[in-house]
Amino acid sequence: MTDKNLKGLIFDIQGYSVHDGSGCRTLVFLSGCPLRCRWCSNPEGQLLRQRLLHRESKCVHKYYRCVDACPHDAIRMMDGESPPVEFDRSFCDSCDTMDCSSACLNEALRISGRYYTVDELMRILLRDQGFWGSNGGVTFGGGEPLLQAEFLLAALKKCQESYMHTALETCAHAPTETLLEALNFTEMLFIDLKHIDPDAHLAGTGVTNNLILENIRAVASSVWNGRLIIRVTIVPGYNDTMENLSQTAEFISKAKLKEVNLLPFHRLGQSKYQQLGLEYEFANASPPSGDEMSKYQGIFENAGLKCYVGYDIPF
Amino acid sequence: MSKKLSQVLEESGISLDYQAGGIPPEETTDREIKREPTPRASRLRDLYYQTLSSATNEFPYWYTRKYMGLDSEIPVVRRALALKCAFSHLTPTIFPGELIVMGKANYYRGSFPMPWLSEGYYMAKEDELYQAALERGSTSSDEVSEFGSGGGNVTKNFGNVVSIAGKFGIRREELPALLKVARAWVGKSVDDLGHKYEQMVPEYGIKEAVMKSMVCMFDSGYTLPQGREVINYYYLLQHGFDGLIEIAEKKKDEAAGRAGGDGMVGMNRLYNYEAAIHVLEGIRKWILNYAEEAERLEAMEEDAVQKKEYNDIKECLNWIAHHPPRTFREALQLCWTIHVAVLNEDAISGLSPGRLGQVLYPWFEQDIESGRITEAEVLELLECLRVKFTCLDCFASMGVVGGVLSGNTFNNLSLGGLTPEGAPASNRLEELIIDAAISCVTTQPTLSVLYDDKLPERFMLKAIECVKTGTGYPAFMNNRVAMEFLLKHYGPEGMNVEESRAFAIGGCLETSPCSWMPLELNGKKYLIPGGSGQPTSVGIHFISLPKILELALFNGLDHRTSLQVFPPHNKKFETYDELFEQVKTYFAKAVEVLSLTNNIQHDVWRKNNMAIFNSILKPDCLEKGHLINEMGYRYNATHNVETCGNINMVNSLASLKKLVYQDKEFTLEEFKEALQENFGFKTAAEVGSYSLADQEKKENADRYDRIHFLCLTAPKYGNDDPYVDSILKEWENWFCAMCYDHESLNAKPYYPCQISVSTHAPMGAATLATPDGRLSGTTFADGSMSAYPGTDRNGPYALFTSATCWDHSNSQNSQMNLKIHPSAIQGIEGARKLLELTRAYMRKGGFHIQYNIVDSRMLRDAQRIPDRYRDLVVRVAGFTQYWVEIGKPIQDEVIARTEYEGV
Repeated sequence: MTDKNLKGLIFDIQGYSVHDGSGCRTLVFLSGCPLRCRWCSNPEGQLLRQRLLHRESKCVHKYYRCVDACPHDAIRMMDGESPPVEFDRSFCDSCDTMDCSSACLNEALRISGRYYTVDELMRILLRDQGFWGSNGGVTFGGGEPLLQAEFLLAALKKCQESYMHTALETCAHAPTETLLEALNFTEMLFIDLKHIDPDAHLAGTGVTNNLILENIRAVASSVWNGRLIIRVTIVPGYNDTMENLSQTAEFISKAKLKEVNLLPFHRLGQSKYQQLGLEYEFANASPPSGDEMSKYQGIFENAGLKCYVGYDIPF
Repeated sequence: MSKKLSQVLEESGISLDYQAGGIPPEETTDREIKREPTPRASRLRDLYYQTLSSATNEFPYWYTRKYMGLDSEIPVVRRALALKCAFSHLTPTIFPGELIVMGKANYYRGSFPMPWLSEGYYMAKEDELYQAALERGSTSSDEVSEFGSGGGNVTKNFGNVVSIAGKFGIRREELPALLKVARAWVGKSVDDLGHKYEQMVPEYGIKEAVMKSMVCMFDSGYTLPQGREVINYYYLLQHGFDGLIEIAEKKKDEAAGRAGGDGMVGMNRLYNYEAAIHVLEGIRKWILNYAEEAERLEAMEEDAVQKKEYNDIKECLNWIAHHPPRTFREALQLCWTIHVAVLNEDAISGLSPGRLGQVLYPWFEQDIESGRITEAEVLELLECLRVKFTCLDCFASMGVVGGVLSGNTFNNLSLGGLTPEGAPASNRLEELIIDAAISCVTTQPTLSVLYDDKLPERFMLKAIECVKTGTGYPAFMNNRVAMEFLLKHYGPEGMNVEESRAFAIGGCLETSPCSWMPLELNGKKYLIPGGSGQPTSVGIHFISLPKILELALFNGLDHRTSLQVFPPHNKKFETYDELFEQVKTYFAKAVEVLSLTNNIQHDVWRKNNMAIFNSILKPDCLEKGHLINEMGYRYNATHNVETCGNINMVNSLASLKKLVYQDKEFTLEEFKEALQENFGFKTAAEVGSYSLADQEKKENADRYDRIHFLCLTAPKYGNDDPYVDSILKEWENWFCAMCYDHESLNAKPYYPCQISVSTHAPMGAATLATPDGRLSGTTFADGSMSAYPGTDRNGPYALFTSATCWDHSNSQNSQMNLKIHPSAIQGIEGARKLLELTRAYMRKGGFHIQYNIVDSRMLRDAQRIPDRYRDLVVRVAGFTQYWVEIGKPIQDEVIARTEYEGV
């Protein structure tokens, strides 16, 4: 029996998503991630807590309704400056009221992340199930979905009971037994591999990749018979070297896996960094060109792997 | 510093640019599918781009001259002789390179006014009648309607050309004659006569106030008395002109002097057949005049290829002027000729060719089999036909043609559906029709797929491929929902399951009754579908639901015109239910008064201006000897009640229910003050944009910030929120039933029609701010099932769930427009997923869905530099139109509509 009060923190649910798994899908983004990838496109989903987003473009500086509303005196007026208010994020990140967001009448302040019970989530998924069509289903991603393992497992189980096609997108930095248990209710798995070198991995994401590589091997050698696709986001200046990519290809091929999906880095998360009051290191980085992507594709194909670029994946 | 609302709201959950699923790529994305037409069609289309809407006086002159000389003739014969005279005198023009010939008038984009319907509006600037016409309520829609100023619209005088009715150019020297002809109809036109008699309705004062305040958009009786229907080409395809005249002669002999058991109109059969023969002869002469012109050109032509083409045209016309067509090309030419002839008989928008690919299939099949024609040749002909259809203009007032139709003529071609036996009806010719629409992108004819689960996957994916051109066509209509509606509504007139399968879309998306006709070609038998009902959307044309709510809130008083539109109710609205009841009461009053005056207008129309040619084409006029005015059509319960802005009204009711009655945040008086003060914003006209996103706040006007914020964040339709969806459901259930309490002039019940066409712009322009947070003067949500831009924040599945909370088969239609970013549906995989999305909506019982596949940045660019985008087409509410030819309010609305993107 699922605990009726079990709740998961979800920062987005997107219907008619067409890129992360077969058919038309609903994507569930679970909050919280053990990695801190410097290029992360969903920074609001990194912490396992609600986040306060502040949109400067909407901030009308003459009212300061948020300043009055804050119970922690954590918002400071910065008259005539930009941004017109300053947040003491150490308070904001541990605030449980977020009164400021409802005080703002221009929606300059928004809370990212909402708690759902499994039943509340299922109400949405059961509704969407009627629209997916033949190959569609649900994809859990994040953040790192395995971080809220209890909620994820309960939800996956319910999905499977409801005859839904289930997919999981994970960085695989989670206890092996948790991952393998989740696979009992998962038909398609995407594992994001950031870098093959443990030190470089640590530098880019804050953790080494030992557990991740171990998990990939564990899944590959397990009895699970779903489809596993390794996803590599090509981040300029970080993992786009021949050395890294050919070693990655070798590793995947040695693990007896067949499929790789290369995604070009993009900057679409940039505005969210500003809204969270964070620095964005990749403001001037440009996404790899089509030609470059084809070159990288060749590396994986030479290793005998099926390699798909972008969202052109045969499902 | 004044900020734009879009700046103020940007990027949040309430952002007006919100896109489900993510943000599109940084660079502007063009449409994926782009093909080129054949060189011939390309030249003909270029000619279209370079020509202007041009009006002539030929038809009105000959019609009036003949008609006025026949004082005491039987009305139907008098009209027939006038039509015959006008058709036989039209100057034929054939343009080099054309394969399909004939047009409404002698210009490439020619058309003409019909002063016998209404003479006031196009005499506008020249005549004192204009002032009198302005005083009449119905012209108020002209004041708030706009045409796009680009493309082929002539919105200003230049050189020797005078702009009339806001869209057409006429040569200055033709103007005096035009006005002289028009003067002959003063006091005699349908407009004038109808007006004389409609004033005899006891509550006529309400009707006038309803029109002036823009509660209702326009009168159909004298502006567009026909249309929104499916033509029927069958009789002439099967019998030819000579054969049909022969049949009519025989029937005339049988009917002469006999009442046939009907003491009221039985004797009229004689005059009706006589009239039919005259009109058929007139049209035959018109075709032969074109044949003669082809012969003349052939004799002059030195280029051997062109000479041969003129010869082919001549032979084709000479044959079809008398006989049933033998080849695909002859059949196609005949259909086009019939189509133009019907359009010249009356002021019509929305004359749909129906399931043309199924009508022409017998000739296609036999010609292909015998090698008489190749598919490439068929494709070229179909491309040429598209250009011909696109050159059609409809001459009516600016309020109607600009404000309602955005200049579109709605020749909607239907595809797919089922055969009488319930098998998929799509065929190879229909695939070629789609191919021609992909390669030769034009606005006409627009395409509609009659979606049924039985249709082949390949056919459906071909249709989706066409959607990816960004033209917005085909739209998808739910075959089963339409059949259910037809069986319910036309059951009393004999509609059965087999016949309901013959249906097609008339106009932009009016489900229209059709029938199967037995065709024989070279000994092989076919059943072909064709229209068998009277025009639909000839009833109450667009009641603005937000305006009704506004009047309920303000005790029946319209603040824009200071008119007391409805009698004051003097209620305080202690409860939400009391308020909702008053909305229904005012709405019902509007429907009652408008149905009575509408019945009178149409009755005046049918007495002197009845359709003769269009009538005898449709079952069962020829058999019965009765035309449209004597209910000779098989289906006559076609008058409907159209609404606009239902989603803004429903959202507004939800907002009032929650904020005033449930949470008690504000009193109703505070609410009304905020609405009158436009929540502290400038008016849309001051700002120069009709999109909510561009509205600007007045200086220091923060008094209404909180109420506006709460209005914007109150429950909104499109999010699977039962709070507001239950209001929609209650409204739909009530509205769909109440129409049946009203009787049309055919003694049949009215029924609901829920499309907006372009009325959501001018009607929005005449409406105060609404309790859903929409600002004064801005455009309403389009269609009837589209969410208000930016308010559906939970993606299309939630939107679809909200949309299907009521039974769409209780209404003639519903309308869902979705804008999708091109990058979301790339490749064959993207096509399959778009098909899944469409299919999912249909399976949930949605009636209609259509897509705008376009990057909004491209549209903004096109607003800035229209010259670079002469060929850019977009989907408005139920039709496709050139971007440069639509008015700014609708352009703004299209840009603001939610983009769905699955990045």
